[in-house]
Amino acid sequence: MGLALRERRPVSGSEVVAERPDGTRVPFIAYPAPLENEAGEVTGGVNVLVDISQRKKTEAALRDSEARLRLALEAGQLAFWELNVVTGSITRGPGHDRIFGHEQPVPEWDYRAFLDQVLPEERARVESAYYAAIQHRTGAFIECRIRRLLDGEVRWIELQGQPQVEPGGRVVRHLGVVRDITDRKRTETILREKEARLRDLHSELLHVSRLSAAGEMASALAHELNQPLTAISSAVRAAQRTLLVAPQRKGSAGEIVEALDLAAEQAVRAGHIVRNLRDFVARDGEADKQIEDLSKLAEEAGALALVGAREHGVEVRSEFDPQLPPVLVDRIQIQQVLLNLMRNAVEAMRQDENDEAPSARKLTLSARRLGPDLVEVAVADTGPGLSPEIAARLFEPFVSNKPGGMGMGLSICRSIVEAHGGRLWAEPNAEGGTVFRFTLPAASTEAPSSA
Amino acid sequence: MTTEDVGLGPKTVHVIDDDAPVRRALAMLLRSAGIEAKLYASGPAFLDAVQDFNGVQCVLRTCACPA
Repeated sequence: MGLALRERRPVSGSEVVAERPDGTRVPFIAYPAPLENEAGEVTGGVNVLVDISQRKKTEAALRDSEARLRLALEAGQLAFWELNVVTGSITRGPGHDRIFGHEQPVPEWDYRAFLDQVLPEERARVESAYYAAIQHRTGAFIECRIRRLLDGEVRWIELQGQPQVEPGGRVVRHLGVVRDITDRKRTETILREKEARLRDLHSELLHVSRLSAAGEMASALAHELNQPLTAISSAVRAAQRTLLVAPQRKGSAGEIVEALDLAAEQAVRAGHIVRNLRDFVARDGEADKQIEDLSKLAEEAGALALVGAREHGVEVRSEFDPQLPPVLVDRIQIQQVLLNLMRNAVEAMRQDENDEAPSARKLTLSARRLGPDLVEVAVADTGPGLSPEIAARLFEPFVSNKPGGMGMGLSICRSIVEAHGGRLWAEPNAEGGTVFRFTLPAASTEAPSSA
Repeated sequence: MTTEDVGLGPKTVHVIDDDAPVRRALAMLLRSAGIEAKLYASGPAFLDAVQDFNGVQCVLRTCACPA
C-alpha cells in the first residue's frame, strides 16, 4: 500500500499469509490502489485482497503430479520431448540430452539435430516412420541407432510419440519419450545367439542319437539271428550223425526228415530277420536324401567310430580332395557305412595287438572325385588283411573275420551303398591290410574335374 | 553252458532254452547221440519239474537266457 500511495498507481502485491481470528491461515494477494480527488490529490487508498488458497492447492497438486511424472520417467530411464511439427523445434525434459551424449543440456535442439545423430543408414527409415505418423495422425514408435556426441559410441534408442491434433485436424505437436535400449538390444542379441546355438546342439544330439539308435537296432536284430542259427546247426548235425551212425535203425529216416525240416524252417526264419534288418537300415529313403558335405559326414562318423582308437596306437589320417563336390545321400545311412568301415578297420588292426613287433597301425580315410558325377570314398587299414576265403564271401551275411562277429555289418553297408546307386568293394592295401572303397553320386552337375 | 557229468546212471540231459526251435534242435542232436533230452522253456520251469537233483547229471542252458 505504501508503494501504491507513494507512486500513485495501483500495484499487484505479493503473496501474504493472514491469520484469521479462529487461527486458520489464509494465503492471499493484495492489490492496493490509491484514491485521488478531482484535483489529483491522493486522498486514500483501497486494497483488494484475493484469497488464493484454492490456487495454492491446485499448484501443489500440479507439483506433486510433475514430481510423480519425473519419478516415472527416471525409473523407466525415459526422457520427455515435445516436438513442434511446424517449426521442428524440440523442447526436452531432464535427461533427454544426456541420452544423445551431451554432458550438459544443449540450448537448442530440433528435428534436424536429432536426425544428424541417427546413423546415416537408418535415417531414411526413421524419416519415413516420422512422416507416416504425422500424415496418419498416429502414434510413432521408432527404434534406431544413434552416434552419441561426446564419446562417439553407437547406441540403440527407442522413441514413442503421440500426436496432438488441433480442432482443424492438423497435427501440431508430438509428445513423447525416448530411452536408451542398447543394453536390452545387446541382451536380445546374446539370447538369439544362444538360442541358435542351442538349436544346433539339439539337432546334433538328435542326429547322434538317431545314428547310435540305428546301430543299436541293427545289433539287436542281428542278435536275434543267433537263435535260428543255433537251431539250424544243431538240427543239421543231428541229421548228419543219424545218417552216419544209425542209418538202418527203425525210425531214423523220420528223425532225419524232421531235423532237416526244422533246419529249413529256421533258415527261412533267419532270412526274414535279415530282410527286416536290411529294410530297417537301408529303407528306401529317397525322401531323406539331401545334399551333404562328405567330409563333414566323415568327421562326425569318425568322432563316434574312432573313440579309443588313438589309445590303441592307431594313427588316423584324413585325405579329402579339396575340390570334392557335395553328395546326395541319406546322412544317417552313409554315416552308418562310414562308422562300420572305420570300426572294422580299427578292430582289424587291434587283432594283432599282441604281436612282438606290431606294424604301424594306420587308418586312412580319403575321398576323391572319380568322374563328373561320381565320388569315391576309401577306408584303408594296415591290419593283417583278408584271407582269400573271407575275401570271397566278405559281403555275405553271417560271414565274419572277427571273433564273435555276426557278419552283418558289411552286408548292410553294401545294401545302403547300392540303395544310393553306388558300389562297395574291398581290395588289398598296398601298405598291407585292406582298403574298402565305395562310390556315391555327386550332387553337383559342374564341369568334369581332372580327377 | 554248464556241464556236470557224474558219469553214472541213465544218460539224460536237461535242456533249458527260451526258444522252442532251438530246444527241439538240441533234443534231436542229443538223441542222435543216444542221449535222452528233457526240455524246459526257463530255469524256473526246470526247477519246478525236477524234484530230485541227485539224479541230474547234465544241464544245458543258454547263457543269454534270463534266470
